[in-house]
Amino acid sequence: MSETHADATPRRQFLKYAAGVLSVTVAPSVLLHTFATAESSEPVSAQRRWGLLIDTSKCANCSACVTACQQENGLSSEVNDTVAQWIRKVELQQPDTGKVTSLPMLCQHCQQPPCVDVCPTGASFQRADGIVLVDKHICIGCRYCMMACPYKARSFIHEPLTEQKAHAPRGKGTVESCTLCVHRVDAGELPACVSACGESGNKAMLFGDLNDANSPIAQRLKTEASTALRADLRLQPNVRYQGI
Amino acid sequence: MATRTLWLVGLGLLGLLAGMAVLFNSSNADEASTGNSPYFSPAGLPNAKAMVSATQACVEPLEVIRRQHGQLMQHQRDDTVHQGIRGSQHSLKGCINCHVTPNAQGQTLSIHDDPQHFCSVCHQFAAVKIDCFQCHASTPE
Repeated sequence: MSETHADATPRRQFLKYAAGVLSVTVAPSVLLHTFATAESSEPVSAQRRWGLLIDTSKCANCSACVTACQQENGLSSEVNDTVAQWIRKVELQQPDTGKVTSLPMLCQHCQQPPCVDVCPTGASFQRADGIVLVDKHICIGCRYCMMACPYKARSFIHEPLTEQKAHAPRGKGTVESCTLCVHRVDAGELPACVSACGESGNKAMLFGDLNDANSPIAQRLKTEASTALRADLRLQPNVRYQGI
Repeated sequence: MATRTLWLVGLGLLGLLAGMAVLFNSSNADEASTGNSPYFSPAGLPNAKAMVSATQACVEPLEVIRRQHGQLMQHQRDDTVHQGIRGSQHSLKGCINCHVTPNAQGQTLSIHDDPQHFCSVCHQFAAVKIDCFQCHASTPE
């Protein structure tokens, strides 16, 4: 009798804990969905600011995010000097201690984006909700933005393309970069890299609204330490990292 | 002399009547094929999959869509790219999804492979070179 009692208590605790974890993981996507589908025909507003938090201590030898991005946006998976990369895995090594960190590197969707500052035509722009995009109808392919970006997040398309995805038009002579899967975000879904990281990766990525104080990402940023890459440049990226 | 003039006048009148009959017939045929539209409609256009309503074939009346589809799509494009307004009816994706249908062999070919592609039929006739499909998909999702 006492044996079964002793067994039951930790199990109950585990169930409680599991329910808590489940609600934290499920709730944001549900909330996101109800929010955005209602307003998809409305212009995006500055009330929301989309952000991404990447926990590098969980990120390891896995490239689920990169593969998901390539599939979602119709990017080539081959590796050569001119291939477009919207997200790539990067390894950092601490020179003093030799500690190696693996992290996904993508457009940091800066609040003060240098690519937008230098664009001569206005093709490089920031949406009201903080997503930095290229309007390829206006882009003349000068590549100033590629020079200006300290994260090397942008790619130029050198060759004619075929078989593009309907939601991700891409073409020769224009610059492109991570769109934070704007077509999915507008439909109330998570970016492809984030959902792949959650499903088949190490659950290192958290996406959400930084302006909503109750969102999981805002809560975590408030309570835990995080870093902006190249914080010295004061670009205030909406993508932040933990564990580096 | 007088009979000759009469003959000539009679022949002229006949010719006039025949011409009017031909004109009348062709304008009737135009109306039948394009729904009261005075604009030219090339033969062999692929049919859209469905009507928007019982009385309207496309998202705008045919006169409007034929004259202004470029402006409508361009306006929608700027709204979508810059402000994230989606789900409006004047998107290029909407045109493609509805109008690009499989050919006689059951294949849905891109505009680069198919001279009878919905968009290329008229643009070829009007000698308009469009660059939409250097970037955008020309087949339905």
